[in-house]
Amino acid sequence: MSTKYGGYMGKVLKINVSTREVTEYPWSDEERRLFIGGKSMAAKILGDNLTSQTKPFSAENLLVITTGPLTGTGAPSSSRFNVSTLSPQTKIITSSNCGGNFGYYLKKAGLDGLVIEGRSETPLWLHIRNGEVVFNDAADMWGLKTGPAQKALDERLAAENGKPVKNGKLVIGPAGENQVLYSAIISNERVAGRGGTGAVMGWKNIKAITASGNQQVRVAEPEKMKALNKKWFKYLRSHPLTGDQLPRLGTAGLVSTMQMNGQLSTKNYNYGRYDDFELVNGETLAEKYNIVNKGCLTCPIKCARTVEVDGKPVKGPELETLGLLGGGILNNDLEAILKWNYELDELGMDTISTASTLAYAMEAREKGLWDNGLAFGETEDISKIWEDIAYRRGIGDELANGSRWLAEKYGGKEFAINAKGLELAAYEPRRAVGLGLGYAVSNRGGCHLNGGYMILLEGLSMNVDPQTPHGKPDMTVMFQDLMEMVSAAGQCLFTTYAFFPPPLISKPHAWYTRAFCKAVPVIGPVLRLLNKFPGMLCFNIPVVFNQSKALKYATGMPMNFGKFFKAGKRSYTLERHINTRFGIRRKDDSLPARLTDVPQIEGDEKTRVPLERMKTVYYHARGWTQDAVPTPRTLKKLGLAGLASYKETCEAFRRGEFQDKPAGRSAGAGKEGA
Amino acid sequence: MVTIKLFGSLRLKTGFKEMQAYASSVSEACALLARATGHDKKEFKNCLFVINGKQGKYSSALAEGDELVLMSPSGGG
Ligand code: SF4
Repeated sequence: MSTKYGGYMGKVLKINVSTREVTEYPWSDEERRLFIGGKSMAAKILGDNLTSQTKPFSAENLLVITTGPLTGTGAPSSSRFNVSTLSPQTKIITSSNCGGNFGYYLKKAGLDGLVIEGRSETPLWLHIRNGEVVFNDAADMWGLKTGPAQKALDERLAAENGKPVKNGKLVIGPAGENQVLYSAIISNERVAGRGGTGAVMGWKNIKAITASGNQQVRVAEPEKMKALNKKWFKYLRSHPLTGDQLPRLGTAGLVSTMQMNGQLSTKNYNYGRYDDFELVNGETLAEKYNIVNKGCLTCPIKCARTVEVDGKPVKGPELETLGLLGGGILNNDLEAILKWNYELDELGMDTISTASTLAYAMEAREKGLWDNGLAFGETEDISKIWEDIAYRRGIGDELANGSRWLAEKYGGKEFAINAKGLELAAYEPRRAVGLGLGYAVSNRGGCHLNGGYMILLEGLSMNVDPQTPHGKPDMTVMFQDLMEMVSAAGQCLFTTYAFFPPPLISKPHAWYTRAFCKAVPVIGPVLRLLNKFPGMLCFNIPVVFNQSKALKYATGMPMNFGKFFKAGKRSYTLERHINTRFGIRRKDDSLPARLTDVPQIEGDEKTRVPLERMKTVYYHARGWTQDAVPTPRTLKKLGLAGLASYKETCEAFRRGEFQDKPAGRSAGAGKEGA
Repeated sequence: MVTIKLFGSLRLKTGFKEMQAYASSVSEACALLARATGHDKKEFKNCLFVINGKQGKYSSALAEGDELVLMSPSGGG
């Protein structure tokens, strides 16, 4: 099925790995216009195919790999791709966005996406070459760690073709093969880490997917696109965050800022500051260990670090890994973190969920709930624990199920730091309450980015009062929707940090910066209006927000800031609409009681997340019921009335199945009340 | 005597990490840093200031034994 739009290859393949049947997945221009690409496109595909009865580990579950229309157009930081599926970890849909070059090569192979169903009887390696799928036996690769597996793929491709073949790769490690619930998919050194996509790939018996080809992405307005990209690269390189802080320090540079703000999760989120933070912060990483800065294809930011482990250059840790495997488990040995980060990538495991599950286990033992031999600060045998998890041996077999599962078995839900089963990143939300709301309502579970990343304003880059709930729900909706669409377009979310004009970042004491920070909590009603009527924003924003214009030039679709924003809303609400099918309601948009009921600073009630208050405003701003269900009116307004499930929803509302009130108390509704 | 520490990309740019010095205010500390590193005072003035774990201002006073942290802007991850 071809397309009239630029930016797309016009073809999505459906691959049944049980029958080895390959067909074209019907994906129309109307769907391209409404859902753009990436996670939004994947949500539409999952929504059309999954029923409430579908199980994550089943032939009916789909592994959907999608690109966005900016990938391959030369737009900055746009070599991304997305993996979505019904998550075995959270039991709702998940999406994981990844850098590297696979997205670029999938388009070179002539495809916008892959929809994989079924389960192969034997280990498989799928190679996509110029739109053709080759099913290769991968029995000899099964069991390999992700580095050797990727090397083996290059060797096999070279042997078959008589010369090296440029290609993009996806592989799983032993963790995915053994269905560790938070196992990842690895692409070069980059990781689609969250939600257990690797476990689904492993269950389907797919060890690897490679893509190669010589197709070109057609751009609707190539001259305009080229000129815009040139300016855009220049802007990103000149911005204090994307041109200075991220290239110099990577995400690791946030450790010190979070420490100063009391936002660095320490000892499984008991505290927000870690006394030894200087031993494990980004500055020490840069000064003592970083060999070279690296980046994904077409990225001027180059946020990745390269360090040495056992004399070998490997990817350095991100902030989340430093925070959670540093202060999170009371470990001040940075060299150990570098090594663990590498080991976890090799085994194919999400470092956030692994670290947070470990911290839960340490606290469970400390509290006498689970005699597992683990203790905060005792880290000599941790490498063995990783292996035990990946191969599901001993206590590793239970740790492989994540903190939610463990808390259900051993107790201690209040300190199992996850939301909807997905462990939180290293940011302590009691000192950034807007982020707390984001973690709780995020469609994929406890994710800072899918949660709207309010902490950027609450102390990282700006100085908006981190303890006030005012204005945060409306701002969260706005950020979630914009980030949703940046991701769907195929671009890295880190480019969104440049939305804030440089003077607001580089001059924190200037009157205008202070005025902006003071204004955020009181402009909620204005933001609500914009959230309700995004069409009012029928213009493009020059210099700082190039995404809508880039989409217009790449695809030829009518596009402006308002349409872009509305497409983000559509996507976010669609994901929630699908999750409603799996039982997600207000009670599930929760945080562990430690974060909502226990002030981080004793006696200071403001230092806990006033979640229920913010949720009430948030649902209202979204046009969802107070039980977190998108209403038929909202679905229709966002152009989702054409969904097969729309009618069912209307009928369910008519039957009174979805009430405009909470169906139950949130896990975190204790002290503040529901 | 106060302890002055610098974090963020400005630390990598200037190579300055930490020093003990006599300074009675944040502005005086910034002037000291500018002299010590050869960088413009404005660069330090545009940092965020944390005094003994609490946010400070350019005009804040410093007392004997205080720890002053300067942080250049940071972004996301
Ligand atoms: S900012 Fe970092 S993660 Fe994003 S595309 Fe660039 S190098 Fe990759």
